[in-house]
Amino acid sequence: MSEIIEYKCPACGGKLEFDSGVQKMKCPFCESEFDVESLKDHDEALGTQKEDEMNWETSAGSEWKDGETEGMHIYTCKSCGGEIITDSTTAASKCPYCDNPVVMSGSFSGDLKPDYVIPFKFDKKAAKAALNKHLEGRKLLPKVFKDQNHIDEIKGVYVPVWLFDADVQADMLYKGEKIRHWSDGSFNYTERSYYSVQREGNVRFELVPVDGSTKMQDELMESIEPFDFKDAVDFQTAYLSGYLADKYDVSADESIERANDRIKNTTEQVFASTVNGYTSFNKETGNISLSNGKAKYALYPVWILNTSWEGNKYTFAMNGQTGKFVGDLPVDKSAAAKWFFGIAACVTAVCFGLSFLIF
Amino acid sequence: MSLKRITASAVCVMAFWGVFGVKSSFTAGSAQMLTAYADEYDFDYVDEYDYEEEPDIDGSEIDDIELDEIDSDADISVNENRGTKRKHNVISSFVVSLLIGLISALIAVSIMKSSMKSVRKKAGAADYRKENSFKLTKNTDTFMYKRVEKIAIPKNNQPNK
Repeated sequence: MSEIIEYKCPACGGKLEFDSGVQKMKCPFCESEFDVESLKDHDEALGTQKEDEMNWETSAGSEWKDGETEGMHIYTCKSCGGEIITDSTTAASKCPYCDNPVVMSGSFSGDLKPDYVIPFKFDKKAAKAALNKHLEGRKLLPKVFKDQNHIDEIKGVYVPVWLFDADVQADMLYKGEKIRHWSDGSFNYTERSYYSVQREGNVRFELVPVDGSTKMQDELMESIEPFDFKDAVDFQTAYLSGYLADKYDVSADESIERANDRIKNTTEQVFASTVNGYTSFNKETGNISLSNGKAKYALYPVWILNTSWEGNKYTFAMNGQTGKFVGDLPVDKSAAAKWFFGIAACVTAVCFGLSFLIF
Repeated sequence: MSLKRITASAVCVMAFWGVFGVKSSFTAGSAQMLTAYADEYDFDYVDEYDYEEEPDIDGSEIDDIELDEIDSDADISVNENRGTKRKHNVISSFVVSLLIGLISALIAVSIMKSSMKSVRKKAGAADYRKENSFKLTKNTDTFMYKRVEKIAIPKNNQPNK
């Protein structure tokens, strides 16, 4: 016995019936008419939708070889619990994240050895110059922020990051609408045509970074992106000389969700950008799946400075490879009020004067 | 330019325009006592002036003016209303100017405040999409259905005079 298939109206969800007069499927509720073949394709596309599949292989990093960790020290911050690693030639006195004193708690051992490192391209002098430029011309900035002594405390830190590669397959279904207007002498007409828009395809993502340290704010790390992996080299402890390195305390498995979100958002944008020629469109269903998902462990260079003001902590960061500088600045309320009333008085005076010329 | 200078300049300009405004009101008020208003006269339309002929100003034009049509006690209350109306405009101009000033200041300070924020979370991973890796394996647009709405254009039924 053949299977009975019922079709739902894409416009109103009612049960469609075949209209022998027009030889098409017709909805008795909204009177929309559909070509049988188009309806079948649309129904098949809706029926084959699956849940997203984002699977990763997260074994990243490697084992330290004998003697590689010799001379490396760990410093622990009693305030925030941060653990900083340095080589034997570098001493750490303050925590780069909370600016409190750190104490050397022992020699470094265990943990994963990073796969890659991007060495610092900008030195401390360049970092201080970038910070001064960031603060320049900020009319609402409190004066204490420009204190040169404090700016000198900027520190170079290697931040642990997980890098994710994946091949992404996506299957998206959109409903597109085209609107046409015209008029004769008696009526204004509006014609709305609806289309089933299907897009399937592949895209590859490489080296999507996710911050592996709870001490480093994710927003701050993402704000100084992108990092160019062309400058990355195989990790050696020699690169740590003169700088601090943070230990990872967020595992690759815990970082996956953030990587998934970013990859999914961009995939949806890329596929939506292929839908053209419509007045408007919206996504009906979508399925994104990953294959060959791999994670790597690397250290990325960041210049960091912490400042406190009125009980709030402000962190500035500079990409140690590209020089991009970010950091939210506090607003001096009294300066803001002065500028507000100054500008208001000036504009009021000009407009008032002009009103005599005009009227 | 420092904030103090901007504020001082604004106060001076406002004071200047304030004095100018008051002076103008006074001048308008006194001027109306010396100016004759022609509202009470009916003038006939005169053809284009013929420059070839020398005008006879001693003649008919003056005769045409009937002296009893000139009402020396013409009602000038309309003109007084004009003076009162002018004062009212100064105040409303100031209020409108103040509103524009406050809104402009609010916009300017908001822009300054927003420039103080530079830390933002990244929504996607567009920087890490491998170049030329995007390939579409299915790309179909299928017409489903259409709807036509029609709205009658209202007609003006008033008959022409």
